[in-house]
Amino acid sequence: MNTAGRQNGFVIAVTLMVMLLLELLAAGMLLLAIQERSIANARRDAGNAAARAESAIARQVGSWMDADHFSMRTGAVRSDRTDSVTVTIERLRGDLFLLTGEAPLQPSEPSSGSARASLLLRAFDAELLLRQLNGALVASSHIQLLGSTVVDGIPEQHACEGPAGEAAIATPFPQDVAISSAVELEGRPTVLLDTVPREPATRTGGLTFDELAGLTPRLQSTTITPAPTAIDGRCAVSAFGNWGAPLDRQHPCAGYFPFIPVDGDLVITGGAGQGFLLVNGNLTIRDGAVFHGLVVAVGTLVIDGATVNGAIYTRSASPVLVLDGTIRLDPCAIANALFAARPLRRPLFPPARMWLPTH
Amino acid sequence: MRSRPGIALAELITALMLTGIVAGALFAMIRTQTRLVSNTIERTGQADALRVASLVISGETRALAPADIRAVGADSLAVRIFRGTGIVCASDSGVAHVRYRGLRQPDTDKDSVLIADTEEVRPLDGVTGSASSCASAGELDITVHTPGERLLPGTVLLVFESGAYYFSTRALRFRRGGEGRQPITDERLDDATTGFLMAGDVFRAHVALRVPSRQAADLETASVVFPALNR
Repeated sequence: MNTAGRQNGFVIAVTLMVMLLLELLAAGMLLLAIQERSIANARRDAGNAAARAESAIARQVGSWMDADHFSMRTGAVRSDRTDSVTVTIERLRGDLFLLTGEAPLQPSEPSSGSARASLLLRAFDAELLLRQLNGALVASSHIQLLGSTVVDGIPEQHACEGPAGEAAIATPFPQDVAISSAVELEGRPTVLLDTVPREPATRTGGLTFDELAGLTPRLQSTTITPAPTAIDGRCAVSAFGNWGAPLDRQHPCAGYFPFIPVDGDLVITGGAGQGFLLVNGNLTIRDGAVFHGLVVAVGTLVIDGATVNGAIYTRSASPVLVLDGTIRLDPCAIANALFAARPLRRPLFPPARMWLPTH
Repeated sequence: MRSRPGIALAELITALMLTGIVAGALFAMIRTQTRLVSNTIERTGQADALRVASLVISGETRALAPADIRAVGADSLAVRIFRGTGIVCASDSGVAHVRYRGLRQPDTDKDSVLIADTEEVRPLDGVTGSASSCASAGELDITVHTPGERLLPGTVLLVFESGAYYFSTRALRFRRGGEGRQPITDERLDDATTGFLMAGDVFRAHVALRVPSRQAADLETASVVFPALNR
């Protein structure tokens, strides 16, 4: 057969067409697979970044007590960057912190976009409480000062961040203050017409009594004689009645300033203690007892032959009776009570919502 | 004319047979490839629908609090849908200067404001640009009008609209108020077996896709659990 001449076949052309068609189909599938892979990768990166942002915030909450965030002023902002994740801590209000975590989608490429998470935390607002303390004895009810009582609103030194005023007595009802002749009052002024806006009686430093009492073991109604307790040269902070050592600066408990919430009535008979005493009931301090720090009482207050260095703040319409007692405004004792008590630094989660939507 | 012995007929028949076999094989191969591509495209579309549905629902529900979920039906989920977060910089009575970050600007026609720490809800009376500048990068300065109320600086405001997600007519859809149900995904879902479920404090969406198959009953299902952060 002669094959040397020109042949008019179409097999090559058909084969090429079929090959081209098949390659187009294969290329289309490959393209789809590549797209799916990149979408899956992007979704994985976004999920991982969100988890890293949330975890970084959780770590900050876990180490909250060791960090000194409690001392941040309102409006202050701090940043912490660990493993490419940045957590910004902002004190929005005295009682409110916002933590925002931002993690890059790809840790090796910070410009690859990021995922965010935000958490709200509540906290005890010591500044709010300080703003309401404008005297040695702050009350909103009838006050009766008898015997050789001393109420002194002028601090001996100003080394510490102090209350908002230096009155001996601050009350919205000055006409309801009964003072016997032997009573000594020192202050600027001695009796102040109190017009400071106050938080509701159910709240102290922005938190309810139950929220505050949840920060540390609370006392039930009791009678107590506080005394410092040391074991092996160390302050036994869990010992019952150990409220620090305000009268002995060398005692191991001299630097211990407990927060003492009392759910009910409390009677202190003698002894000495320091810190922040919050009584959700009636309070009686008598028989030579000495307390350094801040006393907040919701019910009736009776001081009979006892001394309080710091301030007393009563929250209700219940009367105040001071007989042969001494109340001296002491900003350092108040500052120690509010800022050195470790339980008050604990963060609280808002009851309804702590994680915020992020955009 | 002299007859010549030839093989033209046999050649023709052989050529036709070979051509037929080759063409048949080619056709079968192309048809198989085409069906494969078609199935792949269909499955990709389904994966896309599932992905979009789960992304939208998880994105909207992850930071919801229980009070934000109004109702969970078999095919619907009525919730607060957060569009942005603002922090009050300063305020007078009824007017708050806010630094705001969100998907869009607050809209008085459809948005309300939730005060984050107290959970109080306020209507959004008005939003204007703000002359104050307390916004940082990525934030806007706006003024929010909340009549008769003075919001403390530092208060967190969550701007939200109320709406509902539906699995309806083979797609995930969204409806706000009296609007129609706008499709978010392609219409590839299986109505009968796709829906929402609230079990205790765990919210779950069961999304079913009908897989292209000779078996009409074939379903590819995905049950997506959305662990809410604010339980």
